[in-house]
Amino acid sequence: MGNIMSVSFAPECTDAKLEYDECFNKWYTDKFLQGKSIQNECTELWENYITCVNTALATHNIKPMLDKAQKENPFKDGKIDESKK
Amino acid sequence: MESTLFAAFVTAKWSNMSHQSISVINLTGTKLFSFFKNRKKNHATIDKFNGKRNLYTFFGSIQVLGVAQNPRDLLAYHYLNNLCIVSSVPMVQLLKTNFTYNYDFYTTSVAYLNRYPNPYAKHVLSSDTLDSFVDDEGRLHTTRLVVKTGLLPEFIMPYLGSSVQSWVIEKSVIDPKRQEVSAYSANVDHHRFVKVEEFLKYSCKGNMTRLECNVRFLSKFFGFKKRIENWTKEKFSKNLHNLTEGFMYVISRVGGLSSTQSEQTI
Repeated sequence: MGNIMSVSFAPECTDAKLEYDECFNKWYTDKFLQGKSIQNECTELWENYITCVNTALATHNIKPMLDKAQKENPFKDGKIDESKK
Repeated sequence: MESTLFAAFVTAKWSNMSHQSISVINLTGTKLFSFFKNRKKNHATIDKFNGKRNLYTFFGSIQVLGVAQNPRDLLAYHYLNNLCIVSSVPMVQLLKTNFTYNYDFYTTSVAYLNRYPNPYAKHVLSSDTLDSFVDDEGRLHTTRLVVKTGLLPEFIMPYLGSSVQSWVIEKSVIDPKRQEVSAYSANVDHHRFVKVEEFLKYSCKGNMTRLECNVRFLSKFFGFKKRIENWTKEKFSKNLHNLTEGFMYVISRVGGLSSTQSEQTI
């Protein structure tokens, strides 16, 4: 779709990220938004990309703070949790 | 000179019953004030400091509040083990605004997912997807990790050393049935200074999209209260400008896609 895409925080993962993003965007616009698929079809590219990211994150000092932030759920029933505002 | 947060040295912990008072000294060893344990309530309060009325409660731990004149005191916090950082009742600021765009759900959601990079988000260095799944209701959940520069105020930079970047977590839920995009973002690090949480909700009806934007600033950085308040307001309006302009830019970029889409569906 000719989009310029942003890089990964870990330079070694950027190629994998771009491949995944391209696949994801195609799936999102052509399938998901059309109601044709609810299953992300970029599994292989995703595995490749997320493994790279997780490896880069594993030893990073941001990891503990990130784990904490990931556990927090700002949404309730798919909407922003009003009590959190 | 503006008041600044200071690091205080506490000579005793409340848990130690043999100590009935706590002295707070600055880093040059000058005694700033003492306070006494309240025997009945097992906590103490300081109600006068620096001429202003401040009410601070201590519950068995070393938590001290105060205002000092020298910012260098704070830097020393990093080097001395038995210093306790001064913390305060957090300052919370809520800012909100609304916009309406002439774009539909398709364009809005595609633009949301592809909003970086854009010329109005030059502070965004990278963006990674950490999680992406569709739930039972058909909603797409996405978690992203974004690295930004310039998220924190300049006057805090001297305290950060070399780390001028911020890690930001962005979570979103895209609901095609309700034609809504809900998004949340918050900085993951530097909470000691400020936590900026952004709540965005795009509600689409036909070719119209309403964006509701709520931002929450939370700071425990006591001495900088006034400066942080001013900074948050400035930051908020600047961010809104970049958010809307950046979004418009991305929409124009994905726009071709959207019009193709419209033709297909008509």
